[in-house]
Amino acid sequence: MELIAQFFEELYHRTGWNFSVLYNAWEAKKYVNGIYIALELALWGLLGAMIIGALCCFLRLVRFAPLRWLVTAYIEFFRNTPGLAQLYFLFFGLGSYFQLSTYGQNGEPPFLSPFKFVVIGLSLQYGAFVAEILRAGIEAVPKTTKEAAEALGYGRWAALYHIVMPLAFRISLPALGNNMAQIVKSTAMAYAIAVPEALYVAHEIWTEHFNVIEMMNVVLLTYLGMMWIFTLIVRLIERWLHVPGMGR
Amino acid sequence: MKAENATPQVILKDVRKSYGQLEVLKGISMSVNRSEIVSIIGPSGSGKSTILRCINALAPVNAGSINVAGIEVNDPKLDERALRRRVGMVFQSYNLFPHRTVLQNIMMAPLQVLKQNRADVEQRARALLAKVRLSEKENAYPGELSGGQQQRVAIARSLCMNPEVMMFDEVTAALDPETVKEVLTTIRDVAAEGMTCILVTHEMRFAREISDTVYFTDQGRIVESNNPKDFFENPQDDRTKAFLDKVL
Ligand SMILES: Nc1ncnc2c1ncn2[C@@H]1O[C@H](COP(=O)(O)OP(=O)(O)OP(=O)(O)O)[C@@H](O)[C@H]1O
Ligand SMILES: [Mg+2]
Repeated sequence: MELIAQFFEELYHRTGWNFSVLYNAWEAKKYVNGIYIALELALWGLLGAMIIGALCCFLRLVRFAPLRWLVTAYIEFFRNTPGLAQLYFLFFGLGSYFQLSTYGQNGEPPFLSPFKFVVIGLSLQYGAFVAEILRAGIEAVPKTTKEAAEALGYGRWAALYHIVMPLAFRISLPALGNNMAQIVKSTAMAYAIAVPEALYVAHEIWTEHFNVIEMMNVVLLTYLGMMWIFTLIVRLIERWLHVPGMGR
Repeated sequence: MKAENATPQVILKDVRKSYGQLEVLKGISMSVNRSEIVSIIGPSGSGKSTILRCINALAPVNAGSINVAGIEVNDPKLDERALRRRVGMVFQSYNLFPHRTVLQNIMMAPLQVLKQNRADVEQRARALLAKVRLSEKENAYPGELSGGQQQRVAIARSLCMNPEVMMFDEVTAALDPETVKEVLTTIRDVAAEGMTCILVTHEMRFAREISDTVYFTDQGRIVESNNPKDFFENPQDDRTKAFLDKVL
């Protein structure tokens, strides 16, 4: 650590390349905290997306048609509009209209912090994708498999729970993994409503030192690293759930 | 076997079934006694599978009545679970659950549908695995087995529900000639224990050897039925003759 800091301080004095986060302890701490917030956003968003996705997928199987239409409308809306626009809609639109994102008259803190808005935004956006992926997975379970379950006395929901869902989840996993990894990148939109995640902190740093190019490199490599870790975790889950000979 | 124990166990009376405009079953009547072995043969599309699917209520009928072991299948208040625990069905495409091991496949329905005691089910499942000569495969996944092995597991899975009637729908049609034999041997064992069996098959020699009664279907009707000797040696209807000329 000491060595790295010394090296980059040297580098700055000799060449003018100013990677200030790598030797300035205070900035480093802030930046690490930014990364931490980004990861936190990604994990909460992922959890929310999975819950919303599974719920929507489930609601679409219900026989009551208006409910299915409502869910479909939500999915179409959130899949086909930009994430940043959705966040603005939630934060500046709904948030201020219902006074969820604004300070109270006597300076009471807002009901929902910007951090929570980003989590909600990510959950809604990615939940729509998860719902679609899970549905495709359910449709990929062969009809004959469902029929065999029926012939063994399974009812509709029991077959869904014991047979169709476990199979659909395994079928969906690669697509789910790819999609969920994208959530790491999308956390950067939190910048727009001043959540101090990695990009936001980097911005603060480069406005101070005018080292935009250096900081942009640091930021991009950070995201690359986070994506890499995320992808690795997905691989591990895939291996853990792998069934010998399935999909042959 | 038929003469000494002649209680009808499956009775179809003038069963009619349509898919949209297409009438697939045009008045099917048959009666199968306890421990009787019945084969249904006939050209492709003549409605053989549909008869089986109507018997265990996988396909609802449009008219007529079906009674299985005292259960009225066409009753709107039909208890499907009660029916299906009495009627086992094995499919051409095996339809094992790929995410569960061989032993789990056999135990699933008795545990999850019938809520039976695990120790009892496990004991029964192991005995059945031994019977289909696959004890050493109990921890394998379906994807790791040959077609013939998968089909024998599927038979064991059905038998573990302790059915009173077993239905086999062209269960050897997807197998290569060497493995056909092992599956037929298994069916022979099941039949020899006094199980009522209804089988749809293209294996004429097997049908002749094992059956008490052979039914010939063509275009949704039963054209002819007889004991196997007379059926194969002295067919009455021209359509039966033409069919047998083609396949024998
Ligand atoms: N789910 C369905 N929807 C529409 N038509 C169907 C359906 N299932 C079967 N049919 C039609 O019903 C007719 C009888 O089909 P069935 O599967 O009972 O024939 P089969 O005698 O078993 O033929 P095979 O020997 O090819 O298995 C066919 O014309 C088929 O196209
Ligand atoms: Mg058929």
